[in-house]
Amino acid sequence: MKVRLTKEPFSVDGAIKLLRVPESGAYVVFLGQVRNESHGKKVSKLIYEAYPEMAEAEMARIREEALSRFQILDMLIWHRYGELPVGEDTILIVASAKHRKEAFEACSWAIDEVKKRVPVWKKEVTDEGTFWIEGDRQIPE
Amino acid sequence: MKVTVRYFARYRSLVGKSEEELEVPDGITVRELIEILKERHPVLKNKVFAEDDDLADVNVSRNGRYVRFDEVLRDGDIVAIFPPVSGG
Repeated sequence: MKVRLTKEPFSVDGAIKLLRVPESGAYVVFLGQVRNESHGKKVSKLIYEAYPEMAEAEMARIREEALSRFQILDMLIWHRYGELPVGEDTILIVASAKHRKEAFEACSWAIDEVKKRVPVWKKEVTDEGTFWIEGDRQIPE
Repeated sequence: MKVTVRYFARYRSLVGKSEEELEVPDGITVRELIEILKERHPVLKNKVFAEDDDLADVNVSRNGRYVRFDEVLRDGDIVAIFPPVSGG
């Protein structure tokens, strides 16, 4: 499945394998990870909530748009949700193309679109309390 | 007609439920539905739609797609109301 919202850890190798074709000369991978710090606060974990049906539909639309906008061969977008401690993977995007430039551009565009459009929200659990993240805002729970 | 309204993330916490089914007048717009919801849940009026450009930060979807506020609803629609997203 090239678009997936899942609680399970994902395999980067497995994802690339799904896209491998002899015509491709480049695979660009973006892998997001839960970071231990946010706005100067020490983070212990993120709790991701999603609107699952719409999140998957929106990721599928982003993938389709990327395929028509850029000269790429394929794209995969996997997003995790649920409770994810520091160091866990959060999102994986792979873009494949004949040449690297298009793959880099499509991958970069796709992660920006995911952050703008896909209905997933994170709550940061920090040493100073728990905060909802809404766009660039941090709001105490 | 009946519509289902779903709330997510902080708005779900504020309203205190994730979903409700409502009987509303036929052919109302998204904006009119929001007015009904503000009456029904004062917390939405006070904390979510409180600012002057009150719709600016609120996302609304209809049947899994982002929707404009002037769009007309139909019987059986699922409308979701949620804050700016923060995935990735």
